[in-house]
Amino acid sequence: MLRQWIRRTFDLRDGEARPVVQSFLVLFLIIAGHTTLETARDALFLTKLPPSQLNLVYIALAALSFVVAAASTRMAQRFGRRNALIATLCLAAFATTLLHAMTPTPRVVMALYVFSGLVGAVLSPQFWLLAATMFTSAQGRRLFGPIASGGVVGGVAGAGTAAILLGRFPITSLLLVAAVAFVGTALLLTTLGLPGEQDLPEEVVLPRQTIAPPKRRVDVAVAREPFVGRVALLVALSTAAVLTVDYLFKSTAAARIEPARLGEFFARYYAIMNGVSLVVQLLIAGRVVRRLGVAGATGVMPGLLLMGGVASFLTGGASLPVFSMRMVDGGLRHSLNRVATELLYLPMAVAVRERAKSMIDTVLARSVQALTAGALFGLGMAGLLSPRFLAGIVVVLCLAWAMVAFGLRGPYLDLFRRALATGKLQFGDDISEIDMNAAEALVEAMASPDPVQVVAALDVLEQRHRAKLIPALILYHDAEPVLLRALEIFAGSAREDWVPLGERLLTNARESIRVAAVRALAKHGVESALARASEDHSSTVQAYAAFYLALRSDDVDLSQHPRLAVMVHAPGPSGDAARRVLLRAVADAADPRAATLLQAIAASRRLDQSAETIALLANAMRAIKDPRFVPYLVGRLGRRPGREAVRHALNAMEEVGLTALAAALVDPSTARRVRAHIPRTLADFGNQSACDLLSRRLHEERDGLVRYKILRGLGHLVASSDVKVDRPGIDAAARRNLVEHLRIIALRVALLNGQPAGETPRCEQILLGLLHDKESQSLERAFRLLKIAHRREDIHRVHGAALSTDRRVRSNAGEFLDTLLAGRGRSELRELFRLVVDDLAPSERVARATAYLGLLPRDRDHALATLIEDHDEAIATIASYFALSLGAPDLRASVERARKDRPSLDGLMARFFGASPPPLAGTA
Amino acid sequence: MAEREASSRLMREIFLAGFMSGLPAENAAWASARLARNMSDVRLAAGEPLYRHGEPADAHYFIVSGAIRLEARDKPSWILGERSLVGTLDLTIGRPRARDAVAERDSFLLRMPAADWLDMLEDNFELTLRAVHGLSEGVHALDLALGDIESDPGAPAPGAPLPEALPAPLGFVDRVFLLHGLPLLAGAEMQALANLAEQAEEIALAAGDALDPLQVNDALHVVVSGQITASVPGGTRVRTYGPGRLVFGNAAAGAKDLGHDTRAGEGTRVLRLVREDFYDVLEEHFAIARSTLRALATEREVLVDEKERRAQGGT
Repeated sequence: MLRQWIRRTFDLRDGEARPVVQSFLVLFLIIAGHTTLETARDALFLTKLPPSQLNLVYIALAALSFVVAAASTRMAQRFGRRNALIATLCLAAFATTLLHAMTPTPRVVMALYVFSGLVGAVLSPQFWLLAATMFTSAQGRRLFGPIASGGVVGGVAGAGTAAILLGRFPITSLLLVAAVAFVGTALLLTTLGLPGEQDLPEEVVLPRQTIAPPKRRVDVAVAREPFVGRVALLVALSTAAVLTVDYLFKSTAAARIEPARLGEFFARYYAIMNGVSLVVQLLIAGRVVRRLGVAGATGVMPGLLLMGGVASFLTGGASLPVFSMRMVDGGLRHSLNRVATELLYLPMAVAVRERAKSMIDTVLARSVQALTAGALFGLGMAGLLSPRFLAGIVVVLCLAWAMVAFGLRGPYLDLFRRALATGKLQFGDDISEIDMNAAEALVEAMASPDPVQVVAALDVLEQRHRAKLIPALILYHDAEPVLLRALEIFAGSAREDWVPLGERLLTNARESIRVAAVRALAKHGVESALARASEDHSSTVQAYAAFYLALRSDDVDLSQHPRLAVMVHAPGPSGDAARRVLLRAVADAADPRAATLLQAIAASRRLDQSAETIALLANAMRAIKDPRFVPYLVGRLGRRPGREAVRHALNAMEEVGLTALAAALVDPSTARRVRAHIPRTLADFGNQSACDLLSRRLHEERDGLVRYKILRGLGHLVASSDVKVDRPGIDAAARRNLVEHLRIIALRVALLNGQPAGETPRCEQILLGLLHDKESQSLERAFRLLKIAHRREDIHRVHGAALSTDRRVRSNAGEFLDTLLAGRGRSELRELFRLVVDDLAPSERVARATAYLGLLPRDRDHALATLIEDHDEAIATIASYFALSLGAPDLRASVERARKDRPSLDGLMARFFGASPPPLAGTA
Repeated sequence: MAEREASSRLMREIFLAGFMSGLPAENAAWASARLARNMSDVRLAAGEPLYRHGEPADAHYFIVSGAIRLEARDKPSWILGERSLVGTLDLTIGRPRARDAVAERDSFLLRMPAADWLDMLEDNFELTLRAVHGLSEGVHALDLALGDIESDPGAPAPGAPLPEALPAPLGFVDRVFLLHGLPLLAGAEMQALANLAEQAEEIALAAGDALDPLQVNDALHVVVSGQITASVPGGTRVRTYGPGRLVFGNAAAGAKDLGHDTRAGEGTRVLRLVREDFYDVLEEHFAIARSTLRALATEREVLVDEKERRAQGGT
């Protein structure tokens, strides 16, 4: 019962209980020991020395922390993280015992202060580094809170023990208690199970690194990592702020409380403070991190301290605001703030994290302490350190701290972006300039003996609008593809220098070259070329000339021109060839009088349906842009050959094309295979109207396939054009897909739960397969929608990571999504994504999704009854058939009801299964 | 730096425009521009490794100049030259690197991330179809050239045993499972299989009846019962396909000229799926396209290994 309560309250999952409890106990003992040590230290220090001496201690601490941090890192590298922590604890216990044996002179007390500071500076980072190797980011978010509460409880226990002991024993006896706690922790650590090498968290910044990288490389990585810099700044500001708060608190306490009662005061105060911390940890921290995200949670403590600082400043350092500030510090520093800060380190690479953490938490923090202490000391010597002035410093520091904390979201997301996508190059989309290197490559390609290379260079130059760089002498080339492409490009340019060389090609032996030459020359108004073509021995070459000659006639309708009419209906391969040449001629001339001719060709039964011919027809229509072509082009989208050219033609029709496509998409009488290709065609328009239209249809479309195509089309459009999307609408669609994903899981879980032993009937296998397909599709669609809402993010990779079998990679995806979706109005979407990405068993996932799913299927029969009524007809049909095969009366009744409500079901059953009755279960 | 990247991208486009030369102009321009945007340059000195056996197949490489040697223990080495793709088989099959890839001489390659490549295939069906056709042609040509190779590419996938006696005519469920047993469709979604099963037509043939030669090249035929005997051009080789087999194996997915004489050896039933219908389903369900490519790539690897083994004097 208790175990269940703990599992539910702390969201503990299979295999997590043992490491969490062990980590909790280790931290409990470390902090209990250290708090006892601190209580003794503070009481001894303030009874033996004035508060101003604290500054000297801080400076000494900073100087020594360099040495201690380096030693700690080296020890971890050499002996492993756990062994390093055990060794540190043993050393701490030994030194504490030694100090207990010594007379507490001012020097010894000062040494004790420095020593306890160093112990605190080393033990805590060492513990959290160890924890970081045991848990992923997603686990850390759930489990670091409960683990950190071990520290809080340890603080309460340590302070409480100290308060009780101080009533009966001398202060120095606390040192022995601390030593015992350290030894106990070391012993407990020897039982701690560490994950195998394969389970270690992924090295995010330095991927694929399985051995310790060279220190210099790590230092470079640390220095170049902007996120590390932000965390360092955060820690530096927080250290300076809490030190100032601590100084203000202690000087206020020393000024207002009798020296003899200081020990008791501190013990009680720390006990209350730790109690507050425990409450925060158990009841508030998790919710705050969940609600605000990791980056947002780091801003809570500076925000509260800022308020306390302002109150202290205004009251001139009154006890209440000052003590409250320290209470906020003590209550949040080791609970919420600790958890949030530790989570910030988790996505870093192991090597970078270790280096950064040891530098930041020990060296940087101590240096900042020393600098702050030095500054406070200097200000004190100058007589400037009034409580109001100190409160002013706190305000400035907390303001800066809060600003850094709230600015962390972007860099934190960047870290996950890089974790999910490595090595991708970014290029600008528009590269129109050609530098010397590129020019060299182009010249080299054009001189290549390989015609494919030459054509490729010509293509690239044309696409870059640099056709003028193609030498006319290329027409001396012998290869057919090169000549054809060059003539095509010259035909479309304003250049004339190639014309004499082009005329030379009119006598080329190859028919295709002669046709291309006539085309190019005719487009440039070279009359003699047409005259020679009309006398050519090839009917194909003549066809091209025939069209131009027909253009000179007075015919308004070229479809009635006798020679052209013959070509439209000419049979056989020669007819096909003639029509292709005719279509090229129409496209080149772009004369509106050819519109009816094109319609006649499109309607001709002789028209071959090859991709080449259809593309030529579409290109000709594109050149003339007559609205009468639109119905043919829209209908043609349903067939693959030449579809890309058909899309371009519709695109060229601009508003008319867009309107016709929109109408066809909405019209239920439009063939499904046509409707399925309309969204992508609309996307090619690349404008706001197309975007709005697709967005609207995304919500209204009932056909799943067409809806998917709309989603993809919208994705293309948003990725390639600067359009505004309706983000709330997109979020709503993503939400629907996620709920659908969870609904399908719920049905699958219910179906499998009641599954009898033995071989699964084939019909059920199909049903489960269909459910699996729908489950994947709905998730994929949700991610595609997210990509539309966040076009600059690489959501594809996040989706891949979310499906990874590696829990560390999944964890990165979850953390990225959680941070990305942190914002007003998106909490539900964020929660749903968390539900589908989180590491959960399907049944657990379903149980947590109850709020979104409503009534869950109770058992197998209930799931089948639900599926019989599913909106997907294939699923409903197979579920009905399967239900009938099981023979249960209730299920038969469900099928009968569904047949009445949905008459199409019978037809579908007959189409799928014929007239035969379903076989009994076990034989299907 | 940006200028250098720009020219580098331009050079990639020149190479890719050549590589895509068989595609319609609209598709080629779109594909080469998109590929070039996501590519990066890789330069290797002779002897330098490109990747090692066991590494994840996260990219493939276009060889612009130079040559790459692919090596694996107990397998013949392959040497790939300019305008070849390296690492595509691993990526298509969806497995870690099966061989070491080492530069045979100084080489310049273009690296294409796997995710971008698959994305592009999904977005442009003409490219996918070209890949299916290319692999099918290659597999069929190798199969013909090797003649007596023992492999049976049309065999059902492991774990999908064919029921001993199938009802006549075949029901929807049995059709789905018959199709699911084909290596070509092993990774297909159930929805796609259901679509294919619906569109397939069952044909009954008497002993000695021939399949229409035109239909053989325009459709996939799966033997339901009985057997189909196919003699390929030249008539020197005869292959027999039994229940659950795809006539002409995986190459039936896209090879142009499969065989001239295809007859029922006894009373035979076949499930006929018109290629155009198959391609329509491929276009709607990319998973089935991937499954087809995977099956073809797997078979091609076996055949190329055999060819190299013979060329290098192996048994």
